[in-house]
Amino acid sequence: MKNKEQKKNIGNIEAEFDRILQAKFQELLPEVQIPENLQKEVFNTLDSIEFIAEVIDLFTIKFPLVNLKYLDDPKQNIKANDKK
Amino acid sequence: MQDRKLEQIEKTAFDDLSDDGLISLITTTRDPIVLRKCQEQIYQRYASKVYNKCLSIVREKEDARDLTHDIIVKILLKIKSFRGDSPLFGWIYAITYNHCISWLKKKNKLKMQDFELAGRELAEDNSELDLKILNEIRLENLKLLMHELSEADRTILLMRYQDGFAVKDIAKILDLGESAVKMRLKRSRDRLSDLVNSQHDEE
Repeated sequence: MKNKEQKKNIGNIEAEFDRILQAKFQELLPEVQIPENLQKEVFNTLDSIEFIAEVIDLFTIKFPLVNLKYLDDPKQNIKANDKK
Repeated sequence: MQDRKLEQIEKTAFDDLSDDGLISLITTTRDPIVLRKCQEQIYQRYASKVYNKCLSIVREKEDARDLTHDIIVKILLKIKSFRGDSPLFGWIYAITYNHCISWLKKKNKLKMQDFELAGRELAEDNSELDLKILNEIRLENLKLLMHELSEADRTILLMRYQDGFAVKDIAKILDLGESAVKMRLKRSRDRLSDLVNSQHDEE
């Protein structure tokens, strides 16, 4: 019985401790101004990554696909070229 | 059809869109201009929070700046995979903590044993929690004491008490069991409590 009460007490103290810590930590949030040119740098990096991804896509997927299309049906391609 | 859609989007103030609205626009739009505006909006809303979070974890402004750059790029590249089963800020903070913890580990400022061992020491530890002293502590002093804590202690306390992460979420981020996180949290609280008490005694 005494043990149970002791555990309950410890639980209450810990809950109170948590509540106080939560309140204090919320006030601790720093409000430092973000560096101004960071946005430009972030979007430059994003553009570079997207450009590299497009180049890779061009040479690994799009270009081989076009080649395959030509190799698959050479007669039709010759006819199409003749018409031109 | 496409023009009408674009016109509609232009009428929509991006500032007024909810996070969910922004994400659904990001996942559906094929217009690079709209996509960029959405990304800029995400930046406006969260970059400062990410920067301040990094700063409270790593403490150096220059490091926090570099980390914020990498984290925001990562977020903007991965945002299409965000499933929306939790609030966006929770997802962003989880990425932020993950990235900062990896960085601290790479710089040898943090070892996973820091998180694991502390739990085992717990059984022998019996720190007294002095609620009154903690309640009365001034913010400036608490800030200083936080700097005296180890990276592992500070990070786990910030996750729990500043960002309100649940134990299971912290466990996921740190790749630990829930009971290990609970023990770690208790240990970190006790360390802070010791510092608060000793500072109080000095005064």
